[in-house]
Amino acid sequence: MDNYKILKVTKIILNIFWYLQLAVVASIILIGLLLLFDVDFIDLNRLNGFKIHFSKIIFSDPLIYNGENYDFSLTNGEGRLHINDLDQKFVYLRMFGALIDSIVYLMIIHFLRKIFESLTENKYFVSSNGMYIKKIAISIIFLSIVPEMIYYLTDRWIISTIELKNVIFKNEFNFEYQTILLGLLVFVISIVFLRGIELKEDQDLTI
Amino acid sequence: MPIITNLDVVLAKRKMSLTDLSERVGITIANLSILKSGKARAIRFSTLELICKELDCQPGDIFEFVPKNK
Repeated sequence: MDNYKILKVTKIILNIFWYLQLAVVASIILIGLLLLFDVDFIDLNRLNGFKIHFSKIIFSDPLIYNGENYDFSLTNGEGRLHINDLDQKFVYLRMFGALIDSIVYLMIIHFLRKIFESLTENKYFVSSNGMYIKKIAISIIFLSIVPEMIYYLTDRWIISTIELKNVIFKNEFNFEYQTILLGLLVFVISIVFLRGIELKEDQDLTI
Repeated sequence: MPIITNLDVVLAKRKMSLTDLSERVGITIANLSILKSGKARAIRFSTLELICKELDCQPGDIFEFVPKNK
Protein backbone atom coordinates (compact mmCIF):
# COMPACT_ATOMS: atom_id res chain seq x y z
CA MET A 1 0.00 0.00 0.00
CA ASP A 2 1.60 3.30 -1.00
CA ASN A 3 1.88 6.38 1.19
CA TYR A 4 -1.09 8.16 -0.34
CA LYS A 5 -3.45 5.24 0.34
CA ILE A 6 -2.18 4.94 3.93
CA LEU A 7 -2.86 8.66 4.42
CA LYS A 8 -6.33 8.37 2.92
CA VAL A 9 -7.24 5.41 5.13
CA THR A 10 -5.87 7.16 8.23
CA LYS A 11 -7.83 10.28 7.32
CA ILE A 12 -11.04 8.21 7.11
CA ILE A 13 -10.32 6.59 10.52
CA LEU A 14 -9.68 10.03 12.03
CA ASN A 15 -12.95 11.32 10.61
CA ILE A 16 -14.77 8.41 12.26
CA PHE A 17 -13.04 9.19 15.59
CA TRP A 18 -13.96 12.84 15.16
CA TYR A 19 -17.67 12.10 14.83
CA LEU A 20 -17.60 9.59 17.70
CA GLN A 21 -15.84 12.09 19.97
CA LEU A 22 -18.22 14.84 18.85
CA ALA A 23 -21.11 12.57 19.86
CA VAL A 24 -19.50 12.03 23.28
CA VAL A 25 -19.12 15.78 23.85
CA ALA A 26 -22.65 16.48 22.64
CA SER A 27 -24.14 13.79 24.87
CA ILE A 28 -22.29 15.06 27.96
CA ILE A 29 -23.59 18.57 27.28
CA LEU A 30 -27.11 17.30 26.56
CA ILE A 31 -27.28 15.13 29.69
CA GLY A 32 -25.92 17.99 31.76
CA LEU A 33 -28.57 20.36 30.44
CA LEU A 34 -31.35 17.81 30.96
CA LEU A 35 -30.21 17.25 34.54
CA LEU A 36 -29.97 20.97 35.12
CA PHE A 37 -33.56 21.52 34.01
CA ASP A 38 -34.66 18.50 36.04
CA VAL A 39 -36.38 16.83 33.13
CA ASP A 40 -38.63 13.94 34.17
CA PHE A 41 -37.34 11.27 31.84
CA ILE A 42 -33.75 11.58 33.13
CA ASP A 43 -33.44 9.57 36.32
CA LEU A 44 -30.35 10.70 38.23
CA ASN A 45 -30.29 7.42 40.10
CA ARG A 46 -29.76 5.58 36.85
CA LEU A 47 -26.73 7.64 35.89
CA ASN A 48 -24.53 4.95 37.34
CA GLY A 49 -23.41 7.01 40.33
CA PHE A 50 -20.02 8.68 40.46
CA LYS A 51 -16.53 7.35 40.81
CA ILE A 52 -14.84 7.33 44.22
CA HIS A 53 -11.44 6.15 45.35
CA PHE A 54 -10.92 4.40 48.65
CA SER A 55 -7.82 3.43 50.54
CA LYS A 56 -9.64 0.88 52.72
CA ILE A 57 -13.06 -0.68 53.22
CA ILE A 58 -13.47 -2.59 56.48
CA PHE A 59 -16.15 -5.29 56.54
CA SER A 60 -17.82 -6.21 59.81
CA ASP A 61 -18.84 -9.65 58.59
CA PRO A 62 -15.97 -12.11 58.32
CA LEU A 63 -14.75 -13.83 55.21
CA ILE A 64 -15.42 -17.56 55.20
CA TYR A 65 -12.66 -19.67 53.75
CA ASN A 66 -12.73 -23.44 54.05
CA GLY A 67 -15.35 -23.13 56.75
CA GLU A 68 -13.27 -20.78 58.90
CA ASN A 69 -13.88 -17.08 59.58
CA TYR A 70 -11.28 -14.48 58.70
CA ASP A 71 -11.26 -10.73 59.15
CA PHE A 72 -10.58 -8.95 55.88
CA SER A 73 -10.60 -5.60 54.16
CA LEU A 74 -10.44 -4.19 50.66
CA THR A 75 -7.68 -1.72 49.93
CA ASN A 76 -6.69 0.79 47.25
CA GLY A 77 -9.55 0.62 44.87
CA GLU A 78 -12.23 2.58 43.13
CA GLY A 79 -15.89 2.09 42.54
CA ARG A 80 -19.05 3.90 41.63
CA LEU A 81 -21.08 5.22 44.51
CA HIS A 82 -24.85 5.21 43.98
CA ILE A 83 -26.81 7.37 46.41
CA ASN A 84 -30.49 7.26 45.72
CA ASP A 85 -32.71 10.33 45.75
CA LEU A 86 -30.02 12.79 46.62
CA ASP A 87 -29.21 16.06 44.88
CA GLN A 88 -25.83 15.02 43.62
CA LYS A 89 -23.71 18.02 42.72
CA PHE A 90 -20.78 15.64 42.48
CA VAL A 91 -22.21 14.26 39.25
CA TYR A 92 -22.07 17.72 37.65
CA LEU A 93 -18.47 18.20 38.71
CA ARG A 94 -17.51 14.80 37.36
CA MET A 95 -19.36 15.60 34.14
CA PHE A 96 -17.48 18.89 33.92
CA GLY A 97 -14.16 17.04 34.21
CA ALA A 98 -15.29 14.54 31.59
CA LEU A 99 -16.41 17.40 29.31
CA ILE A 100 -13.02 19.15 29.51
CA ASP A 101 -11.34 15.82 28.81
CA SER A 102 -13.58 15.11 25.81
CA ILE A 103 -13.24 18.60 24.33
CA VAL A 104 -9.44 18.42 24.46
CA TYR A 105 -9.48 14.98 22.78
CA LEU A 106 -11.79 16.49 20.16
CA MET A 107 -9.28 19.29 19.57
CA ILE A 108 -6.42 16.81 19.20
CA ILE A 109 -8.41 14.82 16.63
CA HIS A 110 -9.27 18.08 14.84
CA PHE A 111 -5.59 19.08 14.59
CA LEU A 112 -4.65 15.59 13.41
CA ARG A 113 -7.35 15.77 10.73
CA LYS A 114 -5.95 19.09 9.54
CA ILE A 115 -2.46 17.63 9.32
CA PHE A 116 -3.64 14.60 7.36
CA GLU A 117 -5.65 16.85 5.05
CA SER A 118 -2.43 18.73 4.27
CA LEU A 119 -0.52 15.49 3.77
CA THR A 120 -3.08 14.12 1.31
CA GLU A 121 -2.66 17.38 -0.65
CA ASN A 122 1.08 16.67 -0.69
CA LYS A 123 1.80 19.61 1.60
CA TYR A 124 4.26 18.12 4.06
CA PHE A 125 6.63 20.88 5.09
CA VAL A 126 4.26 23.75 5.72
CA SER A 127 4.23 25.89 8.85
CA SER A 128 0.56 25.08 9.52
CA ASN A 129 1.48 21.41 10.08
CA GLY A 130 4.17 22.48 12.53
CA MET A 131 1.70 24.69 14.40
CA TYR A 132 -0.84 21.86 14.61
CA ILE A 133 1.81 19.51 16.02
CA LYS A 134 2.70 22.18 18.61
CA LYS A 135 -0.97 22.57 19.56
CA ILE A 136 -1.31 18.80 19.91
CA ALA A 137 1.68 18.83 22.29
CA ILE A 138 0.13 21.58 24.42
CA SER A 139 -3.20 19.71 24.45
CA ILE A 140 -1.51 16.50 25.64
CA ILE A 141 0.22 18.36 28.48
CA PHE A 142 -3.07 20.07 29.35
CA LEU A 143 -4.85 16.70 29.37
CA SER A 144 -2.41 15.24 31.85
CA ILE A 145 -2.93 18.08 34.33
CA VAL A 146 -6.29 19.85 34.18
CA PRO A 147 -8.85 16.99 34.21
CA GLU A 148 -6.84 15.32 36.97
CA MET A 149 -7.01 18.55 38.99
CA ILE A 150 -10.78 18.66 38.57
CA TYR A 151 -11.12 15.02 39.65
CA TYR A 152 -8.84 15.69 42.63
CA LEU A 153 -10.87 18.72 43.73
CA THR A 154 -14.10 16.77 43.30
CA ASP A 155 -12.68 13.92 45.38
CA ARG A 156 -11.76 16.39 48.13
CA TRP A 157 -15.26 17.79 48.14
CA ILE A 158 -16.79 14.31 48.28
CA ILE A 159 -14.55 13.27 51.16
CA SER A 160 -15.36 16.40 53.13
CA THR A 161 -19.10 16.01 52.55
CA ILE A 162 -19.78 12.28 52.82
CA GLU A 163 -19.29 10.08 55.84
CA LEU A 164 -19.38 6.38 55.27
CA LYS A 165 -18.71 4.04 58.15
CA ASN A 166 -15.94 1.53 57.55
CA VAL A 167 -14.85 3.25 54.33
CA ILE A 168 -11.66 5.30 54.22
CA PHE A 169 -11.78 7.48 51.16
CA LYS A 170 -8.68 8.27 49.22
CA ASN A 171 -7.83 11.58 47.66
CA GLU A 172 -4.69 11.81 45.59
CA PHE A 173 -3.56 13.76 42.58
CA ASN A 174 -2.60 11.30 39.85
CA PHE A 175 0.30 13.12 38.33
CA GLU A 176 0.66 11.50 34.91
CA TYR A 177 4.27 12.29 34.27
CA GLN A 178 4.45 9.79 31.39
CA THR A 179 1.79 11.75 29.50
CA ILE A 180 3.58 15.02 30.23
CA LEU A 181 6.81 13.45 28.91
CA LEU A 182 4.97 12.40 25.78
CA GLY A 183 3.60 15.92 25.40
CA LEU A 184 7.08 17.39 25.79
CA LEU A 185 8.42 14.96 23.20
CA VAL A 186 5.79 16.04 20.69
CA PHE A 187 6.55 19.69 21.58
CA VAL A 188 10.25 19.20 20.83
CA ILE A 189 9.35 17.52 17.53
CA SER A 190 7.17 20.52 16.63
CA ILE A 191 10.01 22.97 17.39
CA VAL A 192 12.41 20.97 15.22
CA PHE A 193 9.78 20.66 12.46
CA LEU A 194 9.12 24.42 12.44
CA ARG A 195 12.85 25.15 12.34
CA GLY A 196 13.16 22.72 9.45
CA ILE A 197 10.46 24.62 7.58
CA GLU A 198 12.35 27.88 8.18
CA LEU A 199 15.50 26.31 6.75
CA LYS A 200 13.55 24.97 3.78
CA GLU A 201 12.10 28.41 3.10
CA ASP A 202 15.58 29.91 3.33
CA GLN A 203 16.77 27.33 0.82
CA ASP A 204 13.77 27.89 -1.49
CA LEU A 205 14.27 31.65 -1.41
CA THR A 206 18.00 31.46 -2.07
CA ILE A 207 18.67 32.63 -5.63
CA MET B 1 14.16 43.49 5.55
CA PRO B 2 17.08 45.98 5.86
CA ILE B 3 18.62 44.87 2.52
CA ILE B 4 16.80 46.46 -0.40
CA THR B 5 17.13 45.27 -3.97
CA ASN B 6 17.47 47.91 -6.69
CA LEU B 7 17.51 45.42 -9.54
CA ASP B 8 14.63 47.14 -11.32
CA VAL B 9 16.58 50.44 -11.26
CA VAL B 10 19.67 48.84 -12.79
CA LEU B 11 17.55 47.01 -15.38
CA ALA B 12 15.87 50.29 -16.34
CA LYS B 13 19.27 52.02 -16.71
CA ARG B 14 20.48 49.18 -18.94
CA LYS B 15 17.16 49.19 -20.80
CA MET B 16 16.79 45.51 -20.17
CA SER B 17 13.73 43.53 -19.12
CA LEU B 18 13.64 40.81 -16.49
CA THR B 19 12.95 38.28 -19.23
CA ASP B 20 16.08 39.35 -21.12
CA LEU B 21 18.19 39.07 -18.01
CA SER B 22 16.69 35.68 -17.23
CA GLU B 23 17.62 34.36 -20.69
CA ARG B 24 21.12 35.76 -20.51
CA VAL B 25 22.07 34.54 -17.04
CA GLY B 26 20.11 31.27 -17.07
CA ILE B 27 18.07 32.02 -13.95
CA THR B 28 14.32 31.55 -14.08
CA ILE B 29 12.05 34.59 -14.22
CA ALA B 30 10.37 33.30 -11.05
CA ASN B 31 13.64 33.44 -9.12
CA LEU B 32 14.55 36.84 -10.55
CA SER B 33 11.10 38.11 -9.55
CA ILE B 34 11.70 36.88 -6.01
CA LEU B 35 14.98 38.79 -6.01
CA LYS B 36 13.45 41.91 -7.51
CA SER B 37 10.52 41.94 -5.09
CA GLY B 38 12.81 41.69 -2.07
CA LYS B 39 11.47 38.31 -0.96
CA ALA B 40 14.78 36.52 -1.43
CA ARG B 41 16.47 35.32 1.75
CA ALA B 42 19.93 34.84 0.26
CA ILE B 43 21.84 34.98 -3.01
CA ARG B 44 24.71 32.76 -4.04
CA PHE B 45 27.93 34.44 -5.05
CA SER B 46 27.81 32.56 -8.34
CA THR B 47 24.37 34.03 -9.09
CA LEU B 48 25.49 37.54 -8.08
CA GLU B 49 28.54 37.19 -10.31
CA LEU B 50 26.38 36.25 -13.32
CA ILE B 51 24.00 39.18 -12.75
CA CYS B 52 26.76 41.76 -12.21
CA LYS B 53 28.60 40.47 -15.28
CA GLU B 54 25.51 40.77 -17.44
CA LEU B 55 24.42 44.16 -16.09
CA ASP B 56 27.98 45.47 -15.92
CA CYS B 57 27.55 46.72 -12.39
CA GLN B 58 28.76 46.26 -8.85
CA PRO B 59 26.91 44.31 -6.14
CA GLY B 60 26.44 47.63 -4.34
CA ASP B 61 24.47 48.92 -7.33
CA ILE B 62 21.95 46.15 -6.89
CA PHE B 63 21.76 45.98 -3.11
CA GLU B 64 21.35 48.73 -0.56
CA PHE B 65 21.37 48.51 3.22
CA VAL B 66 18.69 50.56 4.98
CA PRO B 67 18.73 50.19 8.79
CA LYS B 68 15.38 49.36 10.40
CA ASN B 69 15.01 52.68 12.27
CA LYS B 70 15.04 54.75 9.05
